[in-house]
Amino acid sequence: MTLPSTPPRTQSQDELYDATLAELGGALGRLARSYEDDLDKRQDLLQDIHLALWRSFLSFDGRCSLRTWVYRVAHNVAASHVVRHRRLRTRLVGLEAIDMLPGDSDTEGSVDRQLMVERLYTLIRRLRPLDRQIVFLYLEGSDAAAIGEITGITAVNVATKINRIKKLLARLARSGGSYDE
Amino acid sequence: MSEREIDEVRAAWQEQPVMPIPVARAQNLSIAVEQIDARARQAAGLLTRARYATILGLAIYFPIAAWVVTTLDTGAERFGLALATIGALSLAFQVNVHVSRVRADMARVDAQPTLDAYLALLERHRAFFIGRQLWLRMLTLFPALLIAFGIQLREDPHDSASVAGMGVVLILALAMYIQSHRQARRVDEDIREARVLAAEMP
Repeated sequence: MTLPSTPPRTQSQDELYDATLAELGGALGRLARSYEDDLDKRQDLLQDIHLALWRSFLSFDGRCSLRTWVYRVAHNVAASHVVRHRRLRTRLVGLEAIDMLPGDSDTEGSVDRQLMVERLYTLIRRLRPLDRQIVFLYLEGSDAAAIGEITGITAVNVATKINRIKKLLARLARSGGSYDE
Repeated sequence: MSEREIDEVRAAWQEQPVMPIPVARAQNLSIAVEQIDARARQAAGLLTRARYATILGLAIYFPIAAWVVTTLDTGAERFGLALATIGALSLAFQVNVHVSRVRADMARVDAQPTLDAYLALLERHRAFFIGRQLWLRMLTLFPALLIAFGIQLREDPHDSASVAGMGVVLILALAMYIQSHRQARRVDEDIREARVLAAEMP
């Protein structure tokens, strides 16, 4: 089942939820993991996201695409989760400061895809919610226009941030042995 | 920077195993009820702690008041202190009565966990924080303290301690008013949520 871009108003809450599950179920799991490292808390977060989505579909009026709606609701829930559970000494940083993150210079040994993904999660979880949202959407395959629509930031800002994200991802790919060409 | 490298990272990201969804839609309502239940119990726990704090506060207040009354020279000062004491007792009484009622509500919820039972409990919480009960609390506690300091200030217009005391009382009154309304808004959100759920329930 694919997500309709502008579903008719008659679409029921259940139909919207089913479409979301089919199309974005996996992405929502990855989103939860981007915001929460602990498995139990992550399951709670994912549960909260699904609950919030299901309720939100009552008021979904089709003025934006369902995908945009789903990502906005999910990020809002996840960002609230971060605010509630953030450890006092954990300092979130912006994309511009990602060079300073620990472990980034560690190129010893081979890093397989799984490890690379793990490392990506670690990096994402250190980012401020907006940057975290942008990196996540980029990794999920959203283009600049879609990212701008979901996050509400300008195209210029999105382009700048995507450029930084690309550099980060390239560096990450190069640091993994199995990715060295 | 190579697009291929980036595409590989994005592919690795998107090909991760899908995390199982912990809830099915059919369970959503019961989970929402569980969340309300958890919040209601948390609020009841807070109130119980508030009762202990009030008892502790009175245990500290009375010996101090008993000592202060021996140092007062005039009947007016003693009158002010008496009013403050009545205010403190009134506050303790309100908290105590409310906690007892909430406990009775929780017992009803335990016996029959319906949304109506939760709504009754939540509405009792809200009534505690705003409206008649809040004003009763504020009017029995703060004016008495203001009168007590005012009497002292009338007798000694240069008594800076009394001026500071009045300032503290006004700040405390404002803080109680703001905090009570904040709590009431939180309870309001829970009530709205419970009503939406009640409407959604089959």
